Amino acid sequence: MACPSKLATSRRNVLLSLGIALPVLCALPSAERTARAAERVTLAVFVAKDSSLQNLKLAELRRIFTNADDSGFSGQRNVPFNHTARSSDRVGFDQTVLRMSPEEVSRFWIDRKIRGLPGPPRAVDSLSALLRLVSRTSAGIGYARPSQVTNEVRVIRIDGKLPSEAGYPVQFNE
Amino acid sequence: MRASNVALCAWLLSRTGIALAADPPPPSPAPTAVEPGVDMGAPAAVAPAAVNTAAPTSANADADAEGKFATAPGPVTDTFATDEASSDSDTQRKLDLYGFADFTYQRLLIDEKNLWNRTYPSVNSFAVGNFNLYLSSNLGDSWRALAEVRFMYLPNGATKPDAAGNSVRTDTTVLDYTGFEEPIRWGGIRIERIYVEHEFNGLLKLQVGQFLTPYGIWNVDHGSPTIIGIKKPFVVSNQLFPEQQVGLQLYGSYFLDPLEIGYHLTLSNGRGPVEYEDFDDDKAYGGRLYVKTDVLGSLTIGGSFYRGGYYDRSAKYVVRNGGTVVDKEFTTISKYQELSLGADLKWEYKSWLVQGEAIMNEANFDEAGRPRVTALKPPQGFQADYRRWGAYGLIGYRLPFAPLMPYVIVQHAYSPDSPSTPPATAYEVGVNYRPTAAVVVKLEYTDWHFSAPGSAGFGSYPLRILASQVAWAF
Repeated sequence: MACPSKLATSRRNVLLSLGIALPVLCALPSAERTARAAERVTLAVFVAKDSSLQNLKLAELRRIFTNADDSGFSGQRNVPFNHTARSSDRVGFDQTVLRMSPEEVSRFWIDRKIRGLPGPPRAVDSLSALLRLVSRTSAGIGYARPSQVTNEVRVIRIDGKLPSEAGYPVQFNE
Repeated sequence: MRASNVALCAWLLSRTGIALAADPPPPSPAPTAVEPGVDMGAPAAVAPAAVNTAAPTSANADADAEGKFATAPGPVTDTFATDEASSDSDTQRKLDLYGFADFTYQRLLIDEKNLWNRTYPSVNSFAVGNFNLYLSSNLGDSWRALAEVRFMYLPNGATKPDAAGNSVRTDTTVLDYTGFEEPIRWGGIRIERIYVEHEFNGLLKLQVGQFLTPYGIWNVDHGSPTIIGIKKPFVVSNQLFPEQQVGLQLYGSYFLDPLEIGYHLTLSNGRGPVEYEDFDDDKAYGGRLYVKTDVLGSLTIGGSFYRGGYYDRSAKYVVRNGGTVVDKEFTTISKYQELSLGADLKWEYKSWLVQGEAIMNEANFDEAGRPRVTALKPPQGFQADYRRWGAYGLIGYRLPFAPLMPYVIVQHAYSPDSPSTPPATAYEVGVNYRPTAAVVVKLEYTDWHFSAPGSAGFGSYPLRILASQVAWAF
């Protein structure tokens, strides 16, 4: 028969082990998730190589992607190409640039069309098609992660900064 | 891509196949519309064909709704309608069909003896109010066309008082020859707007046709899923500005960071009894100037004006020159000059919405153009010049945990042109619930207060309305 004090110590050790192990076990995926959640995604904004566009303010980029771009006297309207509605980069871009959640974006375009205004930019569901479209459209403009951008197009500055520079504004947490 | 589009693509491919089989092969293959492409880092993306089979979730519904409303070509997509840009075949459509509809039920929270029970329209009734269809098309080279029509049950059921005081109801019942001559009722179609537009540049866009008068907020927001409340404020529904005009509209905007400055200028037939005929050559003109900034939320401040003449007349044929010439002789029924002024503000900040409009309209009659006024009590007389005005303010807050916006509206209207309508103030509270982007459910309570009985005595009775509505875009 085991000594009661020994039994109590052993039970305490087991509980202590469980108390340490369980949170660690639970925390592992959580920590992994947290690490993933904290991943900072940068989106490069690009145009055709022959475009004269070098820099855009974030407010101007917002206007282009809400089809509010007024093109001024020149009549040279920018042609935005978007990612599909459910893609993570599209969601991140909308939240960072348009300051809208996916639900707000949906409401925005429905309301706008009922007012009789033009609809949203075209969504392109393949990156190669997007790059090709922008590269062949002198006023075309699109966005993608810097690693996905090819030399078919040219990355422009946003608020005077390139994607690799500190303070670049088109970034979001994935 | 939806199932219908898949079917369309399949049909187009089959047609292409037939054409290729029938014709000699081209020297070199045309570039394909879509390459397999690189994944765009879209873990949540769903294969297009699978979208319709996915379990319906709110997020999916929103995305689908946006997808539906994204099918209309943007202002520049016409350039690519036939080239390889068409990775989504929706944009190849030349005509975009969409619209909205609503279904309303309202009841009055007043006692049975109250006069309003017998005079207020569509009480305790289910009613489909708006069924509006839009037809939009990009015509290329910066040309765009838009038409909006409303399908109505009217004129069936519409009532009008006759000289004897009877309320005469229009009955459009006819026998349907396609069946066994069972009775059916026909309804009407109202053209809300139809125009073609050309964009010269951002500062200069020209619309010709019939357009919604660009004043304030509510008249342009217009559609029941877009507007927050159920009913238009009285000052908007009373048309202190004409709701639509036929003519020309020039508009544009310029962005001077952080301000967007925009304008609208209109030249039209003006208000009149017939949309397509201006009985005098006195064209109406108007405009709107607004400033918008996104510095602190989205703030828009605008001012509008309209000046024009109204002329209604009766006509009869007369024989002149000893019976050799038939001429037309006109008698003026009503003729006046009017001026409307409006100011508006809309501010969306985080989850808050604040909007308001104040509108004034005055009419000065020609001495020979004053219509007779039908008054219940003598003495009878002629319509006096008048100045009517009104305003409304709306505050709403979209809750962070649900797509629900409680709102409050306060409005006031003063309409001396209609003696039976006393000055009135209304307090409204309601909720606007948008479970998906395309569906809106509203519940609204309105308490009207009248500061005088009015010539028909309506103002002596309280009016409290509980209304509910489901509005949807399609």
